[in-house]
Amino acid sequence: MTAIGAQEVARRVHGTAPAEATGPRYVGLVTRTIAFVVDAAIVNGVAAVTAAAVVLVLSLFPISHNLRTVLVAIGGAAFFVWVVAYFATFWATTGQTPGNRVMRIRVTRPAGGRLRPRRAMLRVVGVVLAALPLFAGFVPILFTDRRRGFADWLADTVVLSDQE
Amino acid sequence: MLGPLDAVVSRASRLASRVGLAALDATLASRFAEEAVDRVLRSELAERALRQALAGALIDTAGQDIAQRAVIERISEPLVASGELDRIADAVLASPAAERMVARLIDSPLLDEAVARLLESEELWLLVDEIARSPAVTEAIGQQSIGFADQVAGAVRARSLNADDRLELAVRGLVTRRRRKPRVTP
Repeated sequence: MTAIGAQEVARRVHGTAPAEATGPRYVGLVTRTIAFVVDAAIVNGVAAVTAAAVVLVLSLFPISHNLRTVLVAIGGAAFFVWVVAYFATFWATTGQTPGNRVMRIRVTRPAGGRLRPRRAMLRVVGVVLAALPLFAGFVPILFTDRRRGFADWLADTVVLSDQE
Repeated sequence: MLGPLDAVVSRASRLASRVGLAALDATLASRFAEEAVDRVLRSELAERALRQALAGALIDTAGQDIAQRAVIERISEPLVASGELDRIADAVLASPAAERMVARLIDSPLLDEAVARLLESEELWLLVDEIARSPAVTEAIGQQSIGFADQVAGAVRARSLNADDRLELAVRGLVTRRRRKPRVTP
């Protein structure tokens, strides 16, 4: 009986060499989805509380229909900025959104460096674009060696497990 | 200077003392002495004497003297220092009698009464409120909650990483199976 290496075992089980056999552990779709759900809860929770507070204050003043439309548009824009800023800021600073931190995963460059703000913004755009065609942009995570989706490919990033 | 008469009296006195002591030793050593003591102790006279002593001021005086002269402290200090008291306490606590006593105490209505009174007292609930509001307790509860949340998050993390691998394996297996499916030619 010939001894086979861990790499070969991994290749036979996974079809391709998994992340742990080659070094860093790349994180898959389930963990990333859970982290995203946590982030979505935080983003929407903060937005809902803020919106409720603003609406409560504005309810004290007589507001015309046209002004209401403008305020809704401002609110939408503010929400968009808030969402983009939330993800881009965390990815560019610590590499971890709060959801990532809960799941102990981190967004980095393939070589391990931190993302620049511009690249973090690009990744946000990538996530939006990946979600538009019925989330088809996330399917490559299941098939690629480094578990990269469209956003990772666009911004040239990887998502690694932060666990020891 | 002692006269010859004084010397004779002194010698006679010493001799009489020695004879008296020798007679006492002989009496104590005799088999009748024990019997005599037993009879005295069994007698009504002894009982009456003891009763009189207990009813009289003797016990009060003895108690006062014991307190004034710190008799109990003087006895207990060397016992405590030598560790003998600990040994005695251990022996008493380990004895079946102590167990029986505790069991009897727990079964007795006295304990129920004590607990009922304690629960009725306002001070107890003030104390409970004070303890519940104390920083140590709130910190402990906070730590407990954080620890529990950490535990849950850890379990979710481990399972999600496994789920990553399983999902990937399942999808890849599905795709590979479809590719390998032999084409049926008509």
